[in-house]
Amino acid sequence: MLFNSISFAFFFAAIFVVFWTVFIGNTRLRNAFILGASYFFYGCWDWRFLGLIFFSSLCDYGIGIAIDSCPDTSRKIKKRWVALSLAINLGLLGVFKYYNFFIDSAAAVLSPLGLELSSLHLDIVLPVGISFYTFQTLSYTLDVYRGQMKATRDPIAFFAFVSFFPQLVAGPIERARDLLPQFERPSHFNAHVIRSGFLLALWGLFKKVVIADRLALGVDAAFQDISSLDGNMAAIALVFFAFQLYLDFSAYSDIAIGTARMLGIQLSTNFKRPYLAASFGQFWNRWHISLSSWFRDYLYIPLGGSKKGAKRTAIHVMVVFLVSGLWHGASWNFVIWGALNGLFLILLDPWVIRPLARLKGVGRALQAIAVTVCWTVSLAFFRAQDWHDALLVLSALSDLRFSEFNGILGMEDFEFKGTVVLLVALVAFEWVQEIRPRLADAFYEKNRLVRWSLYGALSMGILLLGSFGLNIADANFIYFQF
Amino acid sequence: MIATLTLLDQSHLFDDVVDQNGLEYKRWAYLHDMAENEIPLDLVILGNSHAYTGINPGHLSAALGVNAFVLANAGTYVADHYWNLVELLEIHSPKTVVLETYGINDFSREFMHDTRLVNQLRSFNARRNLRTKWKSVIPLFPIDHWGIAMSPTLRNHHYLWTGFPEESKIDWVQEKRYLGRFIRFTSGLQDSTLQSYAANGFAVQGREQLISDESRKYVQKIHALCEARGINLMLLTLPMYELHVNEPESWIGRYDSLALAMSIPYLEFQTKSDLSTYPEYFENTRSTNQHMTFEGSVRASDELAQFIDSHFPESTHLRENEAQWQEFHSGNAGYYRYNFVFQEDSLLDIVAENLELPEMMIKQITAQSQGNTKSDKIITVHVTDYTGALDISSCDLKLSFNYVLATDSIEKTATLRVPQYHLIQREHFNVFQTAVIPLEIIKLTGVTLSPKKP
Repeated sequence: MLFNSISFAFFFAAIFVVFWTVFIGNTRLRNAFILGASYFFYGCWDWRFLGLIFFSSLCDYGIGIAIDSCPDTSRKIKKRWVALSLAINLGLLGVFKYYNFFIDSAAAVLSPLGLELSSLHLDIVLPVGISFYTFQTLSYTLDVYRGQMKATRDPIAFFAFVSFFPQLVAGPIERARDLLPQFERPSHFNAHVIRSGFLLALWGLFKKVVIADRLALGVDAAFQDISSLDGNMAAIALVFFAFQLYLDFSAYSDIAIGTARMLGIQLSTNFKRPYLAASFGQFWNRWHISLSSWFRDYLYIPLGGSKKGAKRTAIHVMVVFLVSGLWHGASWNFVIWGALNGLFLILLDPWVIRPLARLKGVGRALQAIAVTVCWTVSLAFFRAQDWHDALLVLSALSDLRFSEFNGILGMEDFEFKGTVVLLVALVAFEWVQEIRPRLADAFYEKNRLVRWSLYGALSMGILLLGSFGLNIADANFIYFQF
Repeated sequence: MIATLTLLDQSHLFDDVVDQNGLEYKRWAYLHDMAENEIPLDLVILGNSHAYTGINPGHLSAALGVNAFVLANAGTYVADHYWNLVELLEIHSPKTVVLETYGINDFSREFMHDTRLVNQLRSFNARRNLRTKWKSVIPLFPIDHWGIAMSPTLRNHHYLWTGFPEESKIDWVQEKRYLGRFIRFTSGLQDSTLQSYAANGFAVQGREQLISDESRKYVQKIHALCEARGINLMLLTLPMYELHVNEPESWIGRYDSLALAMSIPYLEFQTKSDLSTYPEYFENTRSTNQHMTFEGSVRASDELAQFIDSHFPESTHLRENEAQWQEFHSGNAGYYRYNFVFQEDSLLDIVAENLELPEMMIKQITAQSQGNTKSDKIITVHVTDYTGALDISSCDLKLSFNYVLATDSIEKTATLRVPQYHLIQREHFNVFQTAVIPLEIIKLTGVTLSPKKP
């Protein structure tokens, strides 16, 4: 059940009505309802994996209580419980997501030596959202271990926290200390909050079906036949993909945050105009924020962060980015992509990007452009099937000839131009938001006619300009694969 | 929003582009045309592409003296057949329904994606009765496709991006008669394909051809609907080449049980006929979906006609003496299989008449354009008074002639083998018939009868 489907619209409408009418007075019943709805939502993909999410939740619920029950002096026992949680959660990830990657990699290395491992390759299906809910439930155990929160004794609230359907399959990866208490409090109907959630979800849907999915038509056409790409087409394909990825994922986050808000739950911000970042450091504070901050809190800082000198800091950064690459996908592509972005942060930020700020007038814009261009180049490894294809795309870039622009990537002429206009409008809109961060708040102060005109325009835009209907492939969200 | 969508739908701005082959639309146009002109429909064949390539409604009509129509759309399933029948019964009252079984395999609404979805949508859109469409959209499509099924605006709004197509309104009812079939394949299995069977084995595993619960439910609904209206119902399985299907008995057995449970007749050609043994009866492919050729369809139609005649005699030979019926069908290829030409027809060329040969009389040689495809001609030869020593029922007829192609004005000479794939031996004549590329016969130079090639 995709966010951009009619079935989800019906599903959510029913949940919304029942939530605010039937279960509003009883927190436990409300949580049980959310839990049931979330398991139904997840089961629509594959009911067999419900057991997995239940098992993961059950383990961390029990381990949380076990850690909390240990006296403060028993640090060793607490450590063992945390180790068990890590083993279970990372073990699940290891089996379902990384087993074949490691087997195939080992087989490639060992086969010249006569060791045949390919028979160990298993036909494993990757459960949707496993990387997201595993990290979310892990953060709970780690926070309880660190004493940053008390373990919950309410199993329904905890299971609902792990499986909360708006953010179950692609985040934002919520911290237990932020989200869990919201399940332990009664909900209060607030029309303003619900309205803002609705608009955010509508805006997310618009970004997804009108822009991201249309960009996908061009990107998919380009990456299906990489060998025939010339420099211009490769550049357009990468730029389109950079925007497709951003719009697709931020759209999912917007819909997740918006629908959660309509149920009275606040989720954390996941994107904050990343393509206007003035450095790579800033970029990672604006892109997939919930994952970046997860790695910062549970990997980078425990490794030592920036407190052990420049060299160690660089090593810590590289470790985080390599792991982050691997988190995105079990293939060497993503490892290279992670490594590239780590190097950008370590090398380009201090030596190239930040010095650009000295250029008065254009410095800020050049910083944003430089960061976005480097990021876009790195996405060749994110999108291509393997590193060989990625190198083909990058080598095609060397043949870039702006004077001979003719590639429109399998789109109609008007479709291509219209898509470019939409992208320019989007960047302009984000720039205005960058200057006036309270633009959305100001919107709610407008009169009803203005507000409803926008709702109507967005809705009709989705229906008439959206990329769906005949001859359009099912448009999944990109981050579902992780 | 709904009001805007309704207005846009009503404006027909986003209506589907339908090419000249829009058979789904054409079939309904002719069914409505028949109803408006009070031409009754007696026999209807429900199914998918197997039905409209494998059954020749002209032949059925001629053989049974009724009006038969193939209401079958490519890539559709039994659920679609059911709703087609429901809508058909709003305008016609057939006496017999033949349900071809290919659409019964494994239909499930939840697996309606890509090509399956597009095919089902095409068939759905071609229907004209808004009430039955509203009733059928929920059972036919998963919830996410309800919008694009019902609203051309939602379905085709991409015209805003890709440009609006040229005017695509087609006046379908242009021919004298169209009975729902579509000639696609005129040449049978070639040697290379036959060799690939030897190399690669069977293309279809009969054991894997299952009937889903949903399909079974729809067959039962068709049965109940027919029973309530007093309509005869039978199941029909058209064949694929004998080397195409492994263990056909297990596949056929499922339909046999289904028919038995409903106490309705079942005719299958896969195991209980020699149809599946002739390479020339089948499309030249080893892919899973193998259809019948023109020749195969004529033979299958003849045998189906005999079966219907014996099982439902009260519903056949109702109209053959009616002038309206004769006028309606004369000119159809099937008509001349059972009758001499006696009316002028714009689609028909009489190549030769009353040729007196040493051992036989050629009453007529006719060449007919097929109005529905514009790409084939049917050659029909009526032989009478044969006195030769050969067994005519195991002979081919060879025509030598000069001709020009429709696309080329250069005159050529050829010898055409008109195979005796199923001899119709009426009271006064024997009929040889085959489909050829579009050509115009300039001069007939010879006719010989020779034993059929092994």
